[in-house]
Amino acid sequence: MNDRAARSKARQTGAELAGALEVAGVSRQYGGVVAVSNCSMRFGDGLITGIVGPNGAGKSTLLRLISGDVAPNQGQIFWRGRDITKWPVHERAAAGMVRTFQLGSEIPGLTVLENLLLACQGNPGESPIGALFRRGAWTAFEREATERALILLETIGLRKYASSFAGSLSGGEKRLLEVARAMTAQPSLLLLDEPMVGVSFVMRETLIAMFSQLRDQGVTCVIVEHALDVIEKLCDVVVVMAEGGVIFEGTMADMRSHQGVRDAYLG
Amino acid sequence: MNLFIAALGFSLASAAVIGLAAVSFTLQFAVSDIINLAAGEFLTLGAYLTYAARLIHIPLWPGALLAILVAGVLGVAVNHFCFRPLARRGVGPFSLMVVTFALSIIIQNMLVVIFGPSSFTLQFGGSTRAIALGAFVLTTAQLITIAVAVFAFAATWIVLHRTTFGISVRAVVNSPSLARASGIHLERISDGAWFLAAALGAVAGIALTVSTSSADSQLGYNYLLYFMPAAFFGGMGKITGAVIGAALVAFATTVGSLAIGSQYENVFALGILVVVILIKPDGLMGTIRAPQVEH
Amino acid sequence: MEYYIITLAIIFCSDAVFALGLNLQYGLCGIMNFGYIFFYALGAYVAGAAALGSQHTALAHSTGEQFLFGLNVGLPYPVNVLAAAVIGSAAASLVGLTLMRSLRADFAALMSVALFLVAYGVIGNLTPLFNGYLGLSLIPTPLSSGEPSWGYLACCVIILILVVVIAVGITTSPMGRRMRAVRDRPDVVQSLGKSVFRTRWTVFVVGNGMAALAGAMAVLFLTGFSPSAWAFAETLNVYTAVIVGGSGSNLGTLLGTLLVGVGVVQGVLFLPPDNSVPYLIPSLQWVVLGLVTIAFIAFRPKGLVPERPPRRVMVDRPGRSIVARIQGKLGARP
Repeated sequence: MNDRAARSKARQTGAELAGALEVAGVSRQYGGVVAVSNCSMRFGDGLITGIVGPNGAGKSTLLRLISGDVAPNQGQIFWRGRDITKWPVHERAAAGMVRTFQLGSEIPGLTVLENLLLACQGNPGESPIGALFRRGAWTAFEREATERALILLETIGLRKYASSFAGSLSGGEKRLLEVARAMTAQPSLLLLDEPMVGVSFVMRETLIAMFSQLRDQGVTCVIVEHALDVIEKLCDVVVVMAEGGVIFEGTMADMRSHQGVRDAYLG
Repeated sequence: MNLFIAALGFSLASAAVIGLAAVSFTLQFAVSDIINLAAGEFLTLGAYLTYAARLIHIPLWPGALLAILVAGVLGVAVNHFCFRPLARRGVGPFSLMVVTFALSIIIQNMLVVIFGPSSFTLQFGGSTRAIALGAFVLTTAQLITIAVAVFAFAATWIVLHRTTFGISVRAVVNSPSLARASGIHLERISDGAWFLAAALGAVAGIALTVSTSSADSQLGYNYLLYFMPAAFFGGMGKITGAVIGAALVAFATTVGSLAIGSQYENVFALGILVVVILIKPDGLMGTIRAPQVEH
Repeated sequence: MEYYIITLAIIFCSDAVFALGLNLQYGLCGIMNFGYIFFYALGAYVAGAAALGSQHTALAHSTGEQFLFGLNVGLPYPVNVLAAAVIGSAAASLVGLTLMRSLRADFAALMSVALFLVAYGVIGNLTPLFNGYLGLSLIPTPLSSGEPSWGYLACCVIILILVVVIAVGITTSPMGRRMRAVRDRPDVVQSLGKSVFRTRWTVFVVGNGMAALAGAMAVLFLTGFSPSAWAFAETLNVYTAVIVGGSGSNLGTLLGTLLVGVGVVQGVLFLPPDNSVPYLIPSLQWVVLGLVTIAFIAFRPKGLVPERPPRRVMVDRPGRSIVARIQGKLGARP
């Protein structure tokens, strides 16, 4: 399916349906190891949901099941009222689902600015025909996109690196770039896989502010994190996973007093 | 029906050689994550080294043995001094393949520089004598090829499953980081595995030359089309898969050449490959490594 | 001497188009296509057969060559060259449907080798198609009478310029950026909603179309074409050109073609041949080419002319607003 067609198609139906993200009975095994086991839950629309849990609980796998990087052995995934279980990664992304990567995902051979421009959807210059024969259209598109990108870079303090190769940034700066790029893609659903890894405390605050701003704009966020202070500042709902399943869903305060959660972390 | 049985017979000998070459190729991939386009040159080197031995008056059998050992050493050298250092420097799988391709050209042409462009034969007395076994008719050379191949496969299996070295190889193939953590000396193991792979390739090349009676610098290159699909079919990196794939390729090409004509037998090898790609672009029986990202 | 210069120049034009197509696939998009020379051959055969046209009977008497199963598909120049490029692209679009789906690019490379080997064998054996291992001969060179002319050279230069315009146009566009991103991090590109398969397939089609074009340009000048002209080893020539020159850089690729295609291959001809061992120098030439390639990959992987991102990016200049700066930069471009 053509990128732009998929995206506009999803946007149309999305506007009609009160679509939340839902996983229904998803399981995923690797050989004999069960990573996610019969997990069912709804992620609140327009909320930031945090997923926490001890190592090996299946948090990252669940995120990758949602993003499409991994296919479930059983179960289904729904988004905006549509069954997206069989959708390939790029179709989900084109429909507004953007993710960040645990190990970082800046594209090293592109400049910082190019990394952002890559995230723009619907660029008429991204095909050979478009590149050669619709120069006017994409030049205008790029001009506007570059302006927005530079403003965004300005707000996160990376403006001076616009022409530098993304591979030359520091770890924390790469994280910022990744989030900035995710924002440029104008997501309706943002999946964050341990975004605070390798980020300084100062930058953490910047990132938290960016995510909150996105949520205020109506973007649904799902964030897998270890740092509970980040979860506390950011998340509206907290989900605790252990051994492939969900053992708690609710607010941070309730989580602290939940016996099952204590057992999972300490047991 | 006779045609079918005859095909089975013929294909046994070629399955033996394809199998040896395929196992060699797939072992190199399993241990070093390299698709070695110069893998065919181990076959060529095996034949040429035996020929060289004969030139200094060493008879065929000891010459062949010597050739296999020297080829093994060359395999170690190629990995130790070329592929591994480059991979360590961060040269990606793309560029490494180009390196293996360049290496194959270098080897082929160096052989021409040293030995001249003409082909040669490797034969022993009675090698072309035909022997009937029920419905099959095979030459002595072909029978010996099959026997040698079976012996080589068995020996390889024993090495991989019953020796410390072999078990270490399998550990490295399954999880390099875990293997290193458990004290296995990765470099020595990979060198050893390359010795084995190169030796197997040399056996294949010698057997091929003896049973088809001539070799030139293109020997291994011409054989790529058979053992590459065989290894791929069985799943890159999987040794038993390579043997099964070899049997399949041998049988399909033999049937094809009997049915249509020997000029087009390579079309059948391609047919297998195309079917595999259409069904599962990354190998039919699964691969050992997860999809790679080039950096 | 004039003859020699024209020869060199025409060969350079064809080799350059050939190398640019590879740079697009390998240098810019990370596509490992080891069967690349097959498309060159396809283009050459199509253009050659079309140039021979309806002379089946006449040729049957003189050279005995057969082609296209006796069908008459004669096309005049430059239509036959165009047809070659179109057919090359069409073949690539079919092949690419399966080849570009592979998750591992090096597996796709393996497949491309196998496909090449089979194509080589089939064309060599299927005599009624392109006259098997003897190949086509007596192909007329356009715009010349007996000797290659400045006219044909001019046409080749025009084609080269056109291809350079296309290559640079794609490279400096958002498509070029997407290609480079697919080369570096295909997983990230997927996660941004863009189909990696589609990108690779498109580049595969365009790049191999260029190869076919190069083959067509060459064959009309060489007047003959047989499997020995596209043996697998010839692939090393074009890969060396791209790697030495600078993979990812169109300018570098042109430079590499000049150095390797003209410099090495032609330079070797000036060495005195030893008639007692006539194979020595050609074989050593291959060895040198192989060593040069490995040396560059090991020690100077970026090549002589490293790839640079398109100069569309803003440079900090204090005292001007962002918007004004952008408009100024973009407005200044032709």
